[in-house]
Amino acid sequence: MDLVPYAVGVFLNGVCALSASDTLLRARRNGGRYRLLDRWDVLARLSGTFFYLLIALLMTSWAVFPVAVWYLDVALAAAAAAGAVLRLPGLPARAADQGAATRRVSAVGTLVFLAAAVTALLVLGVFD
Amino acid sequence: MRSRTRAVAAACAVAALVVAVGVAVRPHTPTLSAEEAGDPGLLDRARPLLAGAAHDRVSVIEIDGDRSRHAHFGADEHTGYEIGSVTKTMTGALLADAIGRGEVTEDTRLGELVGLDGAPAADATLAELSSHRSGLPKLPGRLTDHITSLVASNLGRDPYPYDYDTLVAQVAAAELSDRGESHYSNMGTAVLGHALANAAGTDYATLVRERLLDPLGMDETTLPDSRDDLPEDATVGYTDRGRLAEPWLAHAYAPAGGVRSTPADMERYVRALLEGAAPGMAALEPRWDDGQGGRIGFAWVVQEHGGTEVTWHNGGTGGFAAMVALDREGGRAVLAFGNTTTGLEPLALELLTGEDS
Repeated sequence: MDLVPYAVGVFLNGVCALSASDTLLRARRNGGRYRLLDRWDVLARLSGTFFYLLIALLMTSWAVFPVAVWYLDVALAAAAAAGAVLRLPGLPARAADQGAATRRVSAVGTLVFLAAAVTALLVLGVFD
Repeated sequence: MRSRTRAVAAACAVAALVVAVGVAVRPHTPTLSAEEAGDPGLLDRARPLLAGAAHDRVSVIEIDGDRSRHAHFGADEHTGYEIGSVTKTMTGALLADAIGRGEVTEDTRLGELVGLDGAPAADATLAELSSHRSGLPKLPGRLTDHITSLVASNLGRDPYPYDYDTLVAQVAAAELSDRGESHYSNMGTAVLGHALANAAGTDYATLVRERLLDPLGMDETTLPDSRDDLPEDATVGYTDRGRLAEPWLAHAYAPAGGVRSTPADMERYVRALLEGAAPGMAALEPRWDDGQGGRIGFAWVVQEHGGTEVTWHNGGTGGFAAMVALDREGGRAVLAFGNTTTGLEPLALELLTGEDS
């Protein structure tokens, strides 16, 4: 039995699930370091989660790896997105801390890359 | 309170959108078709060997002397399958046939037939190319080729979109390593096919048609060069990533894996091999170590399996798998074809030898 597809699947989907869970947990907290800092932070983390989701979808050998894991990834990502949207009204548009600029760049960069990747995949008909 | 309600509604809408998109683009893992046809006994023996793995359409043919049994799941004897590297056995047969015709010898150097301008690969012999002992790498080693293959294989595309000139440039750029030892090379078999065509003054597709397919009556076997060459109802394969696979077309790498055939045609091919009536029968003779405990001829591998000497070759493309296994001494063979990438080697070997592989 070839274990490589399982190892790759566990890694890729694990990263995706961790990213979504991290955003979800941060969205539930109002204070402390472990929280969403501003709206750019929300965008950066959600973009990252959806990027990992896309990579997991494309690179996992679903012929051998349980497809149920994909639905778990999607459910976590949906919960993270919903949690982030709920937190959004209470967050500043832009925090004044030192990492604010980095978060903005990260959010815009990931979002642009994600949009380009999805557009290319749609044009290539990968999701047909 | 109203803004809270709006936020909750927006959150629900976003979650629903994510779920909807996630379901829409979900991976598809096919299951073995419940539409069965053929010999009930073979169906009963094949079914458990296919259980628990990603299969969709599968055809199994068991040849025992004059008798044949078919087992088709979601298919029939005219269902088209990409046979992948089983094509290499046809290229091997063409080499043996060309040697018989006096067009080449097994020691003819590649550089005599293909313009390689003194590149290391020019010194490789045709026999070395056919038996994977030329030292050529499995795949082209240039960075652009690596990227092309990586992207294509992850998106379910044809990873060999190269024309003849590109193939020759890839071979010319390749370094030979461990020449004389067996290292599987798609590039080696691909350029071998074109070298044989050059020696005969034709192209590979015409060569294989005139010297192998037509004489054996394999009218359903094709080397599609473009999507237009495929029938509208051509069987579609599934990638191991759970997506529909693009067909692998017979561009320059056709001699290594570009043939599309049917169970009926492949039965004709294998029956002719068992009867010693196929062109280029010398291709089956094991002559060199294959580096994995077996022997290799012109592409065909010969290994002991459960006390039976099995002559075999498998094949795989982005969405198909194939296996052809012969017990030449017993006059028996098992052929298996499917439209997923799940290997059919264990099934074919167990049906042929009765031994779990």
